[in-house]
Amino acid sequence: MDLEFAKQTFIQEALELLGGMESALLVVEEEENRTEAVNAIFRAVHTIKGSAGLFGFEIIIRFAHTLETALDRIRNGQVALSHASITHLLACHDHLAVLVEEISRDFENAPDLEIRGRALLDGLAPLLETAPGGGHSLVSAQATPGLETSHGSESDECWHLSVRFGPTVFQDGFDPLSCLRYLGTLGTITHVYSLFAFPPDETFDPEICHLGFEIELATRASRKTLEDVFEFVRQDAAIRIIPPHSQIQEYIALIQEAGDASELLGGILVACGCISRESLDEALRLQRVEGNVPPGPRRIGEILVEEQAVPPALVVAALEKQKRGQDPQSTETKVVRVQADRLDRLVDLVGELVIAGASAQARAGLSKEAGLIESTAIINKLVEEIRDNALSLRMVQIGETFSRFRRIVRDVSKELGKSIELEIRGGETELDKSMVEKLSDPLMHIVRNAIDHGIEPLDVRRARGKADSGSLALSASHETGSIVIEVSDDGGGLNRNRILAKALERGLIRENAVLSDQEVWQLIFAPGFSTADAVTDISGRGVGMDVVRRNIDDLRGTIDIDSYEGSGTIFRIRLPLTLAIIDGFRVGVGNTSYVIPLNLVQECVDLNAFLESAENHLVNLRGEVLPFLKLREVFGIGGALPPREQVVVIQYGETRAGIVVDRLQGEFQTVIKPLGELFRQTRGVGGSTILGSGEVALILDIPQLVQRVSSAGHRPNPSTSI
Amino acid sequence: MLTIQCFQEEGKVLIQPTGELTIYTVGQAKQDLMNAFEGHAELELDLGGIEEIDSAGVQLLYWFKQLVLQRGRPLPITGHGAAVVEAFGLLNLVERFGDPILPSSHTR
Amino acid sequence: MAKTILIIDDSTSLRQVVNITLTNAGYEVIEAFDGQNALTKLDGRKIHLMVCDVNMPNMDGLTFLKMVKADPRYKFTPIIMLTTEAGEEKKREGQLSGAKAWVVKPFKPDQMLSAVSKLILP
Repeated sequence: MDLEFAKQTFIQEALELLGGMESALLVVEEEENRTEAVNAIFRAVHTIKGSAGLFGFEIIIRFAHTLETALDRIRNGQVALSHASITHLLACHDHLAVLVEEISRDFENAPDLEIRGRALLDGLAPLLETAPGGGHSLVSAQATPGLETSHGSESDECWHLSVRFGPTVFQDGFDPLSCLRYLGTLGTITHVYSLFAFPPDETFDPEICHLGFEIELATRASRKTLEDVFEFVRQDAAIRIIPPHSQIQEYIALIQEAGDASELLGGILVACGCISRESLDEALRLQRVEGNVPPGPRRIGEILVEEQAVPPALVVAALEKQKRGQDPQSTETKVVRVQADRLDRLVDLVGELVIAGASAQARAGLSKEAGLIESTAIINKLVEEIRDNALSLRMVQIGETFSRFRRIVRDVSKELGKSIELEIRGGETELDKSMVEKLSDPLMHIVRNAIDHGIEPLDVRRARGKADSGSLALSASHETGSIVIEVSDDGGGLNRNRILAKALERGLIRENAVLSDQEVWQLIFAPGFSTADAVTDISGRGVGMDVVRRNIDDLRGTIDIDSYEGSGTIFRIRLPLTLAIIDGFRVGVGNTSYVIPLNLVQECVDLNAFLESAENHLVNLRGEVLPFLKLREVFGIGGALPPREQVVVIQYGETRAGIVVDRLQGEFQTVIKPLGELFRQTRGVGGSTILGSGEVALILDIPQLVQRVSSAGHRPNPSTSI
Repeated sequence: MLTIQCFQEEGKVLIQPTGELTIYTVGQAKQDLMNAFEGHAELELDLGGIEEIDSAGVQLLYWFKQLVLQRGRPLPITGHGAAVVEAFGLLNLVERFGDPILPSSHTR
Repeated sequence: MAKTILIIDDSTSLRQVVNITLTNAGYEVIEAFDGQNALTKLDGRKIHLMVCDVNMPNMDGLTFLKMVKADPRYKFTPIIMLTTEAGEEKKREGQLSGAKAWVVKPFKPDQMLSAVSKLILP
């Protein structure tokens, strides 16, 4: 990102605001309650002025400024908005739009725009009439606020700064150390004495500031610059700035004002080298003799400065000119908003292009024509890049979705009388826009469940020795080939016995069934399953978790649960990176081709060389024993076995397993087509694709297959698993 | 975040604050320091664990040192880390605290 | 470690310029487009300074300011409020809520940098 980019953003943003302003101007007359429309009109001009200032577009600032003043008066009800003034405001709007559009023009040499602008502003007079001092004079006051362009002196000279910070300075977020650090950038601090005015006993309140400084600063900076160092603490601090070569009386006055602390301060000033010991003694003697009553405490906000330094010479004009030099014909990098469905259509087409490309490459390969092969290879490489680009257009950060839950957590927990803190991690993780949309509902169910049933009521939490306020975390991260989204709470965890009892009652399991924790937790995704004791508005109506499961299934994702009784639950959703296109690894069994998502494939080995137990379906991969399954058996494919069967080793989540096939056919890129109704019930298949040759290949649903392998691995009898 | 730990060591108590000593933590820190002060005869304050300090933090340390000295007890301060050294330096307080800049007991 | 600044303004281009200016000066910058959005950035991470516009849709700067001052994790964080010369009344209201640093719009990038430097150096 650079300034040129920001400038383009400014143009686009300003034109959008102007569009809104125009619409508001057009409807404002009919509106019964005009506040909103008038606010929109005001804000458009206000925002444009604010941003234009950053870029130094003076002509826009000048015009917008007077316009804003007029609009502010309308907004405050100081003047009425007549039909005539609306017409005039529309003309002003048009002019502002021209100024924004012609931003790259050399404005200083644009008398036409300047003249037109002035005429329009004159037309605003009726709206500005009673404004003190007239609207136009405000312009010059705008151009140079606080520009620190001048130096007070040619060489470093020693200033004395005396500062007493107000009591609330720490709490307001100021760190007096920052003042010293900043002064250090303006010159050399030759001496500092820090004063602490705290009570020397336990009544000391550490959040109250008791700090003061006596500072000697060698600098070329102007008085104004030094004053401005304290611009944000000025209100709550007493500041005295004594210029170089000041009369001794200056310091004496400072000492006298210190009252009881005058001896101390005098010592400090002597130490700083501001005055001699003799002058100090003389001053203090006089003070005592004459019974000089020190003046009362200085008024807050007052800066006492002896006006000796020459007022800063303004070199603004020269500087401005320098800046304007850098305004060439702007390189066009515009931000364009695109409707989501157009983007989807593009991604669809790219999908088709990928297939067609694969087909062309396959045919080129058959032709054995070197030139053709090379050309198609280049085309395919480009297609790949187009694919990546097109998909990245649809990627959005999940953070926005996550942050919507803040409100929900707050509302729901309030409703239930629970105190819950939501933590969000990995909001910057990107995923496909269409997925984000479909993810929102299932997340909502899980979050509501966690608040309602997961996190315990206050009395239970206290009895368990937990913090009063429950914590809920949403996190997103990338894991090999997938995105992992976790919802975790520190609540009571799932109740294994209650789930089992309920499942038995509903006939979901047999009596005496032996189930692992994972299998028990999966039961809650069964349709109509609910263990909540009380049905509440929030959740617990027995619908929800099965819908969650179905939604996640639709996204080709998986959901699993870790739960620890008494200490919390984690719902973990794994999703593929994108829905539309995958890099595939093609394998063959019998006459059929299958596709395995390439990012899940770890390696391929010969089955016979690594076989551990044919009976238990195990291979031994360099010491690691992995379960495998044969696609041949899974899909009931008959026919002759090939001489050497191959094992594709895949990893999904934390599980590694083997898939035994007849042939390895290599990598290729593929577009996922939804399955027809006929295949939808087929377990183990997640989609289909059309090969370059026109054949259909089935895309394996690895998560499902892995689940099957691992549950078959646990128990010798796999028939109970599904 | 700030945690303050106290260790009994050869008849004296070593106070070791860890984390940030800033406006956000000085309230709690004052309590912890007072507790340590009231319970024991001899104290040592090791600042080796201080990663961040602001004026409020320095003010608290200076106040505590004054308080302990006033009651006739010494309060050696050790283990000045980079943040503490920078703040003490800017405020010109190294001499007024009077402690030599020594490595932290954390590493002893 | 770089100091982190949260800039809250409904103008994208203003945020971008401030972001570029402060990033070039060595700060870490986070952006938010209104008060509501800014609250979601207050997730426990360390923020050393906030720069917040007063006039914004959804949640304006003063409401946001009050919420920050009520949050124990951020209540002592310095805030620079952006206002217009016309916004004296808002300014008084904000000062009562504890916002002492005000910068008047329009400002130049350098002015923002010097205002920020007075509160924290990178």
